[in-house]
Amino acid sequence: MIEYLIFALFIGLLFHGIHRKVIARVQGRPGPPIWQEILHTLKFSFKETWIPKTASQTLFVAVVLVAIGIWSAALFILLSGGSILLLFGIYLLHKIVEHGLGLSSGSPYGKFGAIRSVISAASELPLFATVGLIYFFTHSLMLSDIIAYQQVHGPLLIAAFPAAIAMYLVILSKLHYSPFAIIEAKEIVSGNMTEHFGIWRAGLEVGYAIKTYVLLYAFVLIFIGQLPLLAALLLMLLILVSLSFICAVSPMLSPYDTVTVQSLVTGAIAVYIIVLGVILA
Amino acid sequence: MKRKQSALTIATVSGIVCVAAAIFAAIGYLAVWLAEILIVLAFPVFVIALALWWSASEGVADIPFIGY
Repeated sequence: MIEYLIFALFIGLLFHGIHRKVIARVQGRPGPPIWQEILHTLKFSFKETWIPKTASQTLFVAVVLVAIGIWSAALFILLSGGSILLLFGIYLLHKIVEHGLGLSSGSPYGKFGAIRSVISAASELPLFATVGLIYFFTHSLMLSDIIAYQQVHGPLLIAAFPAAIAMYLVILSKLHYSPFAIIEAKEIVSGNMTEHFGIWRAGLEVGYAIKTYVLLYAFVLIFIGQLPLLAALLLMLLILVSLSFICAVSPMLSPYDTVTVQSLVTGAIAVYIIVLGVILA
Repeated sequence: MKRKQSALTIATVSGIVCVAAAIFAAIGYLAVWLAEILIVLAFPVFVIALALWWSASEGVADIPFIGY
């Protein structure tokens, strides 16, 4: 249990390192070693730390704890075959973390990040569409039922391909250096994370590493099914590398363009659900 | 020094809670969902307290360099 959480944390950090490496190689740079994010997290945890004078002290610290806690909970939901609606709920709580990070610090850059986080609420819409379409096929939102459905009918990746695209977009939206990562864009320094340095940043890196592991693993479980751990990890890695390619060749979109793209994808899936469920039923 | 000591105490207690919850759940003395809740609550505290412990200074800080 705790051993799997620590395993997910280190694999998540390693995935972040591989993500940076792939982006760098695609862009013709050598890039950092793949274990760089593990070193980064350790480095941050050893740094001298304080809470800015302008910050709301409780919120400033609490969001870091919440970030680690919610993604640990999400991992346990996956492992126990729980409801993907709970996963969706945790994803929404992550939005509160994003707001809280930016607003708690009192920094204008952090506040800009938090405001952009509000704008990018559209990134939750594709996940909502995914949940809807999965239910349409499996008549259940329990992961255990979805896995059992796929053992009989084959991977949902084929049957519910638009939902897979929507979830792929959700994972892409939450990756560092993504075209949708407007909340941590460099023109606003580090966005909502600007003032969270030292051990607070180390804590966030821990939470985000577990988040990356959870989202990739959720994609495999929902659209491919239950696989042996090594095969699942390999598949997660392949998905990550494909996402890294997109991040490497796509410029960061403007805040309103991210909303447009995410809303269009959700709209397309809504039409697909209506065609399947109403017209063809 | 006192803060370093309390960070170590919190890290130790929360770490013990995490490990104990996992062990008790594995041998059937604790419901799995209860163990998961305990870990979800204790693990973030463990991470932050551990980092606070090893990043805290050992004693009195150096006099900062103020120029010639």
